[in-house]
Amino acid sequence: MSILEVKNVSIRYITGDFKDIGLKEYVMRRLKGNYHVTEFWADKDVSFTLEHGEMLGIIGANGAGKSTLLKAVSGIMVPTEGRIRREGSIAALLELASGFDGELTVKENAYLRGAMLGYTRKFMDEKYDEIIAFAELKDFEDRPFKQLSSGMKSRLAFSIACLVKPDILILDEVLSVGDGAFKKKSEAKMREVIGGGATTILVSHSLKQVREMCTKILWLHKGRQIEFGTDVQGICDRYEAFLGGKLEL
Amino acid sequence: MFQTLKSYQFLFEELVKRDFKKKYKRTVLGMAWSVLSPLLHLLVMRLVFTRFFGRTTPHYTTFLFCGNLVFSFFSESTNQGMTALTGNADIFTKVNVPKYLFLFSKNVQCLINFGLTLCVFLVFCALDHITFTWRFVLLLYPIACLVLLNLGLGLILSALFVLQPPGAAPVSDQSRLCHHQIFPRDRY
Repeated sequence: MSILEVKNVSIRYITGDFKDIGLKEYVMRRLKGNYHVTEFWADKDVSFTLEHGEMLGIIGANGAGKSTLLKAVSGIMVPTEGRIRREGSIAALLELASGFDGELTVKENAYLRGAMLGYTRKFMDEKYDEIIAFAELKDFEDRPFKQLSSGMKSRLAFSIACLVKPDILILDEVLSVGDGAFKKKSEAKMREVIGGGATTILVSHSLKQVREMCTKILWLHKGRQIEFGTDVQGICDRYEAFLGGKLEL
Repeated sequence: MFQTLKSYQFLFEELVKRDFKKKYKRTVLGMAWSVLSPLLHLLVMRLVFTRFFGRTTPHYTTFLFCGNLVFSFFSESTNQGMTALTGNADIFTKVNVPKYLFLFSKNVQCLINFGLTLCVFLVFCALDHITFTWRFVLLLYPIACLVLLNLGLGLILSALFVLQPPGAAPVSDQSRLCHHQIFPRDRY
């Protein structure tokens, strides 16, 4: 029984009149027949399955629809067509710095972010010192969050996020974050999390990481699924050839 | 639905705390403001209605306070609830949490405010020599109904408000219409 099954999923964004006008304008235009929207298909007919403990690497150029697909898999968006079946808890790290509030202190923000990731209060109380130590922010605990530098913010976000232990883990380009020495620490920690047996979906532009760690690859281009399979090295080679202009799609 | 609410309890508490702290962060008086503000409203309205319009109903201040209390709970709840979705957009587009949690946390914050002013109101009642009977407990039923009304309207308005173009006036025409339909002015 596969832990994640995505079947013929298509996700559509509606642009145009839909959001730029207010409710009154919407009703007026609907009545007059003056209502125009364009459809943008971010993903069209994507299918794949994942077994327990596998690691899927999603590669593709910018705008290929990777992040949108991840949002659908994690349940933030509902696919316009198709079906997604998941078993177990999901933790999606789509953007590390989301949910932080500039006015609150570092400690309050850490608890808030932890709550969003699904931790319990007891867990946060126990692990709080560990988090602050890993992020090297001991002196800044009671400062308002907006006073931290961007590097500090990403370090805090990362150290909260790396304690997550779900059944399905989704990482959207978050493997190497922060400055210099922290980058090494964070990469090692993430590998530990991945090695802990969770089924992982990784989106990365670093093909080296993808080649080393993934067991399956999904290649997307402009919303369409180009390739999916267990031939990691083969697909990555073809992708590199495509990027270098040697392969036509 | 209650199952999901229970599992998100920590997040819910944190959201309520966050809203509370943000509201009073920059003010000098802090929490005292939510007590002082209705009292000041009351003072102004009493002056206007007794001196300028000459109404002489007995216990007028308490009467005014009563209506003001309920209306400001409704108004604050729906106004804040309206922006619950758009204000927290950067959270629920990136993390999978049920969206109605944000509305509920705003409503809980308004309910706490309401509780505070209700205590002040009871003090007013005592000062105005209104006898406390056991019937005061029956007040809980209309309060519960009002909370449900706030939640329902908040859910509708916050979803509609997403369609508003950014930069529109915070109190939109829709919510003002709702207020006037539900609480007609001739109550005073």
